Amino acid sequence: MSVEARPALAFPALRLLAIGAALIVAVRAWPSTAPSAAPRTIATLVAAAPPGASPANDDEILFRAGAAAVAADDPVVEARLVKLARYLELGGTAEESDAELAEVARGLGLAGEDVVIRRYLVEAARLALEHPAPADLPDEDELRAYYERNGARFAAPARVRATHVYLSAARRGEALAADAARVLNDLNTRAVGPWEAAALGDPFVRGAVIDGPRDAVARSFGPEFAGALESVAGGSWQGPIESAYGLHLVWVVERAPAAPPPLDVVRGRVLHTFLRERGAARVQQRLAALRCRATAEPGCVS
Amino acid sequence: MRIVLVTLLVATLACSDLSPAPGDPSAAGPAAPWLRTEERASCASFDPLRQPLFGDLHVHTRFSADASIFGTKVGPRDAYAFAQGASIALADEQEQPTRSARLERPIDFAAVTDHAEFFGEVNLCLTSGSPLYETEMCQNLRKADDPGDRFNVTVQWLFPAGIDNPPKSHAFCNTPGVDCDAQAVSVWQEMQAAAEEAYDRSEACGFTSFVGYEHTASPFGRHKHRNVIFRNHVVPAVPSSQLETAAEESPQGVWTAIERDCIDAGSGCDAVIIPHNPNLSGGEQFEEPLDAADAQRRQDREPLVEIHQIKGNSECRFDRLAGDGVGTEDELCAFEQLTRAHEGPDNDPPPSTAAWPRRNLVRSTLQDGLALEESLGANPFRMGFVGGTDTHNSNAGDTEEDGWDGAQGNSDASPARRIGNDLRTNPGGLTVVWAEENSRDAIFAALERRETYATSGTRPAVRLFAGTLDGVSCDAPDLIAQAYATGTPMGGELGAVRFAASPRFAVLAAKDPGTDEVPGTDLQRVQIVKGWVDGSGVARERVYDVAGSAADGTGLDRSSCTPAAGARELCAVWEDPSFDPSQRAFYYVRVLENPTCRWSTLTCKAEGVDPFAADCAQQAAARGEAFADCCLTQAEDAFFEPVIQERAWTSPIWYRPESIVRVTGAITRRRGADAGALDLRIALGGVPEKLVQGELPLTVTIDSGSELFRVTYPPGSVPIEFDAAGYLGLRVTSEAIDLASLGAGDPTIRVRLESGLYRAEHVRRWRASDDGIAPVEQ
Repeated sequence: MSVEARPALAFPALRLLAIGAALIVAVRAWPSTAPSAAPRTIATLVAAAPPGASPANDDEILFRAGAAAVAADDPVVEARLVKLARYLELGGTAEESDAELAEVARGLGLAGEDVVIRRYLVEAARLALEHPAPADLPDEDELRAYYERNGARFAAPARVRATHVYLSAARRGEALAADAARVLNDLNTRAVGPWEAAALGDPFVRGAVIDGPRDAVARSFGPEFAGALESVAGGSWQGPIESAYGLHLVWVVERAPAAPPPLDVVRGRVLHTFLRERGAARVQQRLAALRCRATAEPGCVS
Repeated sequence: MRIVLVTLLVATLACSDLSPAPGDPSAAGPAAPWLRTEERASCASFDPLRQPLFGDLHVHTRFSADASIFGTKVGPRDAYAFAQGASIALADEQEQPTRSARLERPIDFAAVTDHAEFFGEVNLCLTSGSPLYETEMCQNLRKADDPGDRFNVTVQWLFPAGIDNPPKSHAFCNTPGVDCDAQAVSVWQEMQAAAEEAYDRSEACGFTSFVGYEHTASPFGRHKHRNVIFRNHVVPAVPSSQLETAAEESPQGVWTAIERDCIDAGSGCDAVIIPHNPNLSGGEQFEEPLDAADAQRRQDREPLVEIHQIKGNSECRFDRLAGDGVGTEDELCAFEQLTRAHEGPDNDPPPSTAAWPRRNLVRSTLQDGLALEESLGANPFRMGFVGGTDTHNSNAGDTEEDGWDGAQGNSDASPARRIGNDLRTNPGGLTVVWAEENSRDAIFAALERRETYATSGTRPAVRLFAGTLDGVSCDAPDLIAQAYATGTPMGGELGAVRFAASPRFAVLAAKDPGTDEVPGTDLQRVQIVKGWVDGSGVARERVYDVAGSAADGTGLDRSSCTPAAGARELCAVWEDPSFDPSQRAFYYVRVLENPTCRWSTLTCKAEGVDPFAADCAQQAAARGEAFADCCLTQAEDAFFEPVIQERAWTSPIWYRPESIVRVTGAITRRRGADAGALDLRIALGGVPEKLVQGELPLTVTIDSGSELFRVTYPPGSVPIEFDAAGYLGLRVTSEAIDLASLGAGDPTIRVRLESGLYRAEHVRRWRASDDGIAPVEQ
């Protein structure tokens, strides 16, 4: 049995071009977006879209809003149209400029049908919906109050800091347990301090310090070790505790409880979380308004 | 009673002294050997001997056009949340977000690198002819003289109502990602906001995000893609995509853009550029340098290469059926190979092994880099290794073989599609950095100095050092500290540190500890891969087994896919039996785990098709046509392997005859002051002829994050002379060295020489004492 070479359209880059080309089958006139003298709201721009199927979903609504709002010569749209035009060999001669090629592609309705352009315009409209207005920005008091209510979400997890003397299972084999007992006795008998044991044990790839929350310790030493470390008393050499690698004699130097840091340290995270949460309801309201205006359903309150 | 109480009080105060104990590195340790460029709390966990941090610097979200088309609906915030352990939605075959995924083990850092080609900045109000140009909102914007008045302008075009009494300015406008200039909405701003929200600036240092993007050049289907990773929140206003840089050759165009808009902009911006998928580039990812300056420029801009990701492995290539490789006999180079050399329409049929582009492969490219250094004086391909996913599902770091959910939205959303359409893709790899702490500056510094390694998705811990390594052995508990003092870690360079004798190489590797559900696989062996160019200019390579054995751990249980027992850790100190001090070379470590079942084998088994069963074909026929490839065997296919060996590749260490052999002497501290005097001797294995002949200046810098000393000798005035050992060297002295930035404890010191295109550096951990600091090797 042999494996056939992948078909060309399995390649993402070519797939994108082919999608755009395939959609050339359904051609629609691109709505004219010439500016008018009177101020317009996006609602009227949406309503000015050519008659056709009413927006069936939010993506279509957003596409129309984006299409109406994005500049006619938007460079991303232009570049995509030029690429499609070249791929489809739409130019009559080799001397066409990019602008001319884009115009040919636009005239064929590709700006409205190409999946890449459509998704770009949808994304532009969605970003605009989500973009915080200045009024959304909290003042200092409001941000602090938010942090007081939600500080636990930003709290640093409980953390342990310890040193360890490592005894390698690979190197010591059957003598591992006995060696661990002997070294532990030696450490305690000689009252070796937590930072004075560097000359004992075996080399450990991650060094002689353990520092972090439980899940980080688990990722370094294995879950059983992390669990056992939780109950080790501090202030003296304890163990041995088994890890994925061997046995460890540990001295817990410090345990820090979970605690929210000062606001100034996490200000950026807190602010962005605040804006995103505050914006969620606003986005839904805006989308509902767009939807309402686009569908013009009876009784719909925009 | 009062005396007793006082005594008790004194005793209590003594016992409650919370200052760190003597010897605790957190007490008054050395300053970080890199610049701190951002405002943040110091990390509680700072290890001068560095810790391994696991991350993914190649992630796509819905902001990438292809990901969006694949049905990915989640964005950068979701990708960073996933990296930290949250669940996200994945697209099903109909592009609906009905599937979900979650990391069993979070990763330590990540970068969302969406394709910049489709970002765009939607300027709503500034383009004449735009539908909104003449709206009242945009008219107000254009009339505003005071930038503060621009806050009158919002995206209120979505509502007819304005905003009463908008603020003139706001304190939060300087928060990264908060775009108070509401005239433009942009994907780029959104990506920065997401990165800032995810980045833990507290002392917990729980997670690091990087702002980044992918520059996607694909001339005629040849992958010349590269990711740009920014050091901190200072980034260009607009990322330069292929659309903006097309006027210049690739990759020179993106280098120019990053230098102009970031590195040389004087804004505090810095970046590394990481190419990927050379295996799909048709040899064009690593083209011949234009000249020597271009070669040096590539070395400066691209210190790393993504050697493993979802779209295959790029280390090397060996055709198992033909018994022939691309410049190699290394049979382990059949790992995760694709069948095509590029993605152009002219790839059918793909080239034979003999005609396969050698620059598709990292090992061959590194060899060519040595030859180019010999001829040009600069090595354009001096690249360390990173791994990544390149997922288009936003599931950063999701590299487990067992239960892999695919990475391309709807196109591999089901077992049938993954097996039937994308058999040769894999879950991807990880980047591992050795860094003092989990912060942007620390990780970025590790990327820049190439103290990184790549994995094929698992999480072994691997160290590599080379040098004299006096006192370094697998018996020494202080192996790591001694190795940093007497050698260079992975990614570095060394000269003839032991004269005509080989440098010593120390490797220490520990298995992935795994989880309760998925135990880590034991190690099989450690190899050192040496590449060099011989006296005839022919590229050579040799792979040495230095610990463990190929015969170990091969007893995979094929019914349960349980790997055999092996080594929890491996250690070796090795010398090159064929070392030639006159030949430049590179050495990197490859660590192999015991054999395990590939993701496709596990998926097939879960679907009722056992690749190892005698009636596999019948099982596949019953299950469906899409599962026919479940039964593909190694006897039929040159590269496919139902059983694989996960692995790690360290960044190389480069041996350069002209590099620094040793640094001796000391920086002595004036008593009670942060000032001192410097008296060092720098021994060199060789120097450029033009330098000896007095045609070039020479700059010597000594730094430890902050610069301690710099001198430039004009042409003809460089004090080079032979030392007692017969090496060329120079003596540098100074009576005015500022030591305030060093902190206490043993610092890492970099001595760097630069003369024209000649560069050499020597990085070691020096020993601190009351008298000052000095290299351990004297």
